[in-house]
Amino acid sequence: MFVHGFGCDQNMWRFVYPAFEENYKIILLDQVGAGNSDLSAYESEKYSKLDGYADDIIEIAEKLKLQDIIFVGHSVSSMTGIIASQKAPGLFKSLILVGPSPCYINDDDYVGGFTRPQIEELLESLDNNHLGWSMTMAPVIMGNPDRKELGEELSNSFCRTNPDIAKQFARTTFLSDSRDIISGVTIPTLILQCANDVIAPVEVGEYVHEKIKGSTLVFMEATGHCPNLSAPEETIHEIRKFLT
Amino acid sequence: MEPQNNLNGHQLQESFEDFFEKSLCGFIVTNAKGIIVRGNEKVIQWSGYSNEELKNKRFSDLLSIGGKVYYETHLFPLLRMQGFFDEVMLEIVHTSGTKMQVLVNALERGFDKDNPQFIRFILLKSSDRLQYEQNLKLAKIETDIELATQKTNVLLREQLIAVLGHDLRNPLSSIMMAASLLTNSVAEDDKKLVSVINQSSVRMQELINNILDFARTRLGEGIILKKENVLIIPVIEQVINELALSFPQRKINLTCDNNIVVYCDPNRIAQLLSNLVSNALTHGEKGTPISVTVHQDEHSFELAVINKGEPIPADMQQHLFEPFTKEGKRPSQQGLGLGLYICAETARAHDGSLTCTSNESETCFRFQMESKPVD
Repeated sequence: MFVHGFGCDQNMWRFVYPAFEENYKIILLDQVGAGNSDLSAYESEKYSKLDGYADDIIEIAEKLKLQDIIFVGHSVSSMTGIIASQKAPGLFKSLILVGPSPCYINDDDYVGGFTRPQIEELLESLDNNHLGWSMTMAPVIMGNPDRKELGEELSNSFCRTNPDIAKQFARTTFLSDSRDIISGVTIPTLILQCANDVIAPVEVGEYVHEKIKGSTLVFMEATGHCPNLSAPEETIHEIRKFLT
Repeated sequence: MEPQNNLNGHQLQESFEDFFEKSLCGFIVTNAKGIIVRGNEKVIQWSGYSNEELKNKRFSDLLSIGGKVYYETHLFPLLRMQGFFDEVMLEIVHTSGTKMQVLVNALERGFDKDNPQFIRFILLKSSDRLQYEQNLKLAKIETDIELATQKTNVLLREQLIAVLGHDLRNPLSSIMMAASLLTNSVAEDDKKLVSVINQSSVRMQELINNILDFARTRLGEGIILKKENVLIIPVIEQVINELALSFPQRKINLTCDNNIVVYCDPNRIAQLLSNLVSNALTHGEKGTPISVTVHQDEHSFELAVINKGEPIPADMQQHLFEPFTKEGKRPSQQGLGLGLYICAETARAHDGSLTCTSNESETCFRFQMESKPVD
């Protein structure tokens, strides 16, 4: 099961999941508010915590009667996966965390990568909408995956996000602090850590590795926050290695 | 900066170096991983970094925190998926801390679509545009507030109309009914008093109807017609008879052809005639008759109300059909001055016209409309 993070949708995995299609049943999903998800299903309160997203993962797994799930979560969804794995013990076989971060804000000795004022500036810039986040939505096409001909696609048409939901998702993501729960992970866990990742720096990957006993930490050659897009081969290779 | 000495004009024009460096846009080239390989003079100017400092930075290192996160979580994925992104507003942070808005376009390049060799970024300064957009946004917010206030006002007005319509009409009907019952039972001396009650009540009813109609037309609903093919003379006779009862001392002469059928709203035509005749009775010279003429030919249907008396002053004739127009000289027994406005609106709703001619010999209001009955 591949789950995308903040700012994108299931397209995130387009270069990675085909490599596993032969040996695994692949589950791809758009989280509520992203991609072609049903926007009317969005509830501010439920999704103000990562718990809400974790409940969705469990619901999907139950609906599809999935067992022994290998959960691949990117960015914030790494934490969603961890929460889900603890809410429904036994549902997941293993966790693969791509650029995980339990907390984005520096706190005493903990290095999260951002200062609180920086996160406040980030959330403010989303509120003011002056970075063009809203352009990422094509309202005509949203929720109409089979009828794309009906709407003239915007040129930047992938990873569409409803701007209002993106705002709240950013809040949920960047203000979340899951440091207390990650040490409760007992299933096999792989952490993929990129170089030069401004969202989840190396220190964070090391922290997660330290807290999750028995986890495997891999420093990738890939740079940035999205190795699944910038270095799909390396990503596939590391996941394969972990699974065998 | 001066062109290089060893280039002639044409060579300069074709020079990639010159095009890249001396541009109004910022150009940045990064490798496939997003590490900056080269930036032009504008980028150096906007970012405050030297050429050397610029190299080996990620593109997102130049951006404000919001842009950084936006780039890493959304724009970079977008770029990888579709090979480009365009018209994205970002902020460049100068080393001094000042921010500048830029519109950014980016394109992946390479010989193989799946394995781009490098990425080109074009940055266009757009602080002015941002300011303009923000002004528009503020203006929109203000307009929305104004609109909300207006909508509340409209609602209040509609409620007021409903109050007028129902709460005033009902007691008035009771008065009128009681007065007409009294007419035959009171002593001869008191009949005059009952007739005053009758006249005033009829007048009051007209005023209420006019206010309701005025409100409706002003609220955009307009005068609503229920048109049908009508034998018009009985309608006209009834209006005249009712008014004659209220003004027993005045004479109203009707001149008409028989069997006139008109496609119209009979209640509205009755109201229009009633308004015109009331006006004529009020403003016409006491003791002189009012004449009503009805005429139809193959083209048009015409209804005219004529009275004797002082002519309407020329300057006033221009504004007769506007709402709240009253005759200035006399103390008004007339109320609001809406009657003729409603008449004109009724005429307009029938695709017809209402005109006035007034001189020493007579004052005439003429309603005209197309006469064809509809099958």
